[in-house]
Amino acid sequence: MNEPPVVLLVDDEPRVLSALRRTLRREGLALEEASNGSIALDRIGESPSVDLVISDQKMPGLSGVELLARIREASPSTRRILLSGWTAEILPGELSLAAPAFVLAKPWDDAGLKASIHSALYDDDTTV
Amino acid sequence: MAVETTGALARLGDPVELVRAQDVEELRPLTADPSIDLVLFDRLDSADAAEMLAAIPGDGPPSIVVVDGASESEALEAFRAGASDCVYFGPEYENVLPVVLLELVRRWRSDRQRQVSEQRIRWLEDLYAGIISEMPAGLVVTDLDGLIVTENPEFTRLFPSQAATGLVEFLAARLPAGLMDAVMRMERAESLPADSAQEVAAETARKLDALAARGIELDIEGATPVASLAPGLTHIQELVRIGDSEEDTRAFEIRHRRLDEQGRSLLVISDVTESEWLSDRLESLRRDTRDIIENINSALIVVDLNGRISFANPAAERILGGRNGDLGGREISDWFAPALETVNPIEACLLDGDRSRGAETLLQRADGQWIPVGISCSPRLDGAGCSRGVVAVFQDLSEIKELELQVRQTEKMASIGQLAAGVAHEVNNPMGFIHANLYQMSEYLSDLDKYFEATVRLQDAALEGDLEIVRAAAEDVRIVAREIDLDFVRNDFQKALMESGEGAERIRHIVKDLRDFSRPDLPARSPADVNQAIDSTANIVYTMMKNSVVIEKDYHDLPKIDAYPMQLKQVFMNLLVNAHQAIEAREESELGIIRIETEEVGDEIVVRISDTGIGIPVEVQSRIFEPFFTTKPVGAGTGLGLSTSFNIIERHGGRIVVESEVARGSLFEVWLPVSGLKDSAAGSSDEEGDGVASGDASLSGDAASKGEASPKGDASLKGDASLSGAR
Repeated sequence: MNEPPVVLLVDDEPRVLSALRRTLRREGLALEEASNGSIALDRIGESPSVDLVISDQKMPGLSGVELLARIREASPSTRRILLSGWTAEILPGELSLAAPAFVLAKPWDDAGLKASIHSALYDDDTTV
Repeated sequence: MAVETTGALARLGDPVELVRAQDVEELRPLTADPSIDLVLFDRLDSADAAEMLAAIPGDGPPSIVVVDGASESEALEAFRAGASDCVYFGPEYENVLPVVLLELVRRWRSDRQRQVSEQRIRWLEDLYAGIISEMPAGLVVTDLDGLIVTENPEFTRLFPSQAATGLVEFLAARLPAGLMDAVMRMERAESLPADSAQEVAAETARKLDALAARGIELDIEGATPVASLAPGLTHIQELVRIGDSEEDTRAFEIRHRRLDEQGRSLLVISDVTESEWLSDRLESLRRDTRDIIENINSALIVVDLNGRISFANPAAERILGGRNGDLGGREISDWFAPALETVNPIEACLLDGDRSRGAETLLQRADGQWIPVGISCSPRLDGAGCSRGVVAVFQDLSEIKELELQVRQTEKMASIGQLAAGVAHEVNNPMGFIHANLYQMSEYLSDLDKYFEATVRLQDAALEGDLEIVRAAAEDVRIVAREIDLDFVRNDFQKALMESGEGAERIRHIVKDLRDFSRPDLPARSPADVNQAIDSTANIVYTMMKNSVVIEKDYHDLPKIDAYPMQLKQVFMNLLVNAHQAIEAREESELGIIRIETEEVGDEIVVRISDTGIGIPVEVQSRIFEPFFTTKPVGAGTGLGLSTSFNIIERHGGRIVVESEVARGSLFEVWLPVSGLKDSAAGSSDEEGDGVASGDASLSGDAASKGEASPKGDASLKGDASLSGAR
């Protein structure tokens, strides 16, 4: 039997993590959490490898795009989704370095989130 | 004098006044007396008779000696001694003496008169010669044919003689054509005694012919005679080109007088180019000045010592509501309503001689409309330094105020964008999980529905009493419970509900903060709680900066001050946003600190906002309050945040003091007087404060300093002198 994909949820807001976990409860994913960028980076270096990171943008320390760019460098096969409350302030240059498969806005649409996760995990052409 | 002599003198008929002299001493002073007409010696028998005769000066009165008829030698002696005549004393004596006396007196008098006349004539001649030679006008006398009879040195200087032809020179050969033309016109006007046009024409033609015969051609076609100033005198002013260039054009004034029936004329020619030029120049200066004063957009008025308008230009009339000089005499205080305590800089200038430059105040027009003006006043001083009144120049600032408002509005919009980012993030986070939770809870609800249906079926089965069916239904309930993960759902439903409620509460808080920040329900100007103002502002901006900043607050009790709270919040927001940006610019991951401190110091309130950002270099410190000065990238700041802040605090009678050290951070102190707003004219617009403004002047550099700055950039680098004083 295939191991479920490992999905790392990164957000400094525990209520958001809790709601994401709730939403993705029955999606057949191995959900993990990190409350900031540096914890997330630590996890990336460990095994089993993380298949997908869903990160918030605005967090103390590393911002979402910074984190995703670092992950992209450390683990290119890890897919990336940015989940942000306010995307207008992200600079285009930063975004292209992070190269997320999807940028989703909070509040998110459950169906859309699930579809994006599915697509990021299984569609090759969404990777950068 | 013998009796006979007196008797003889009595026969003269006219009264004769006799003065007697016995000797030389008595005679000498009398000889200088001009009323003495004759000296009569009654015989030469006195010892000093000869000496007395000699005492009479040569130009003195004539002397007659009465001599004895028997002795010729006595007469001879008398003549030798200088006597004018001798009369023999004898039988004819009484008849001869009066005749001789009268004749000698007549001759003497006429002689003396001629001498005086000649002296006078000589003096007059000298005088006229002096006048003619020294007169700064060219004088020339010509005969009927235009031959120069005589001329004075000035004429020679004005029109030098090319060839030394002397007295036969023609006037036309000396004068420039234009001037000659003018002279001819004058001559025609004076052609005496010719009254008819025909005779005048004939006379002119004759003269032209005479000139032509000598090779001088004149064209006076169309020339018209000028009117005489006085009989025999005409006067004309003529512009004449005497050289090749335009600059050689000179102005001459000519007076022409016919001197006699022989047709001799006196011409007086003055070069008035200089005075013409000066008066032209004066006139053009006057015109220029008037043009400038009438056409400048600035209003200009002159106010006398009594505070009355003595002059107002059209721009002033436009603003003050007058026309065609009808403001003259009006009192300037009419435009400054005392009830509103608006400043009257003109009065201040009149009373104390205070100059003002660009003072802002309000004028009230007759129609009741208030007009914001910027006014500059200077006392008008006379030569002795005494005030003669005031000159005031002012501009209508309505349009500028309108623009200012627009700029401020733009500034507000820019900062609303910035604020929106922070607020949106802060609202969207809870919205995100509430939204997701709601969806999940509806899932949970449908799961629980399934469980509920299963339990209803179990209940029905139990009521029917068929144990098999009951068992099957119970099994079904268990299956459903397992399927839906009942324990988890029951647990998590409650958790999701609780978390969502918490999220909703957070959104409610943010909205409340926003409302506290903007407070649309409060009048613009009110007693302000500065602690509340800075705190609600800090709460709002914290949402956008909490990922990189902690805010420390240290509030002390403050009295409420009369202020525009919205404007104060705008200032605090600018300073907090700047502090945040200074911290972000460090590019360090550890949190920066913004410290807010409030305190009452003396009769002032101080709000200190310090940060651990990158600091402001000295060279930039002097400029940070300048409008449109920004160190941020294009689009990141309008460059108006701090200048707006500066203006707001200045209007509140306060000041902003900056202290900064590069790489250590900055401290901005906002000082506000407890007495609050003083000037009712300041910040009169109610809506100008109901927004927020972004900060600017992001901070970078390499030196430590402490300073303050004004919008004009003339910062003095000392701790806390008043900024408002810089204006």
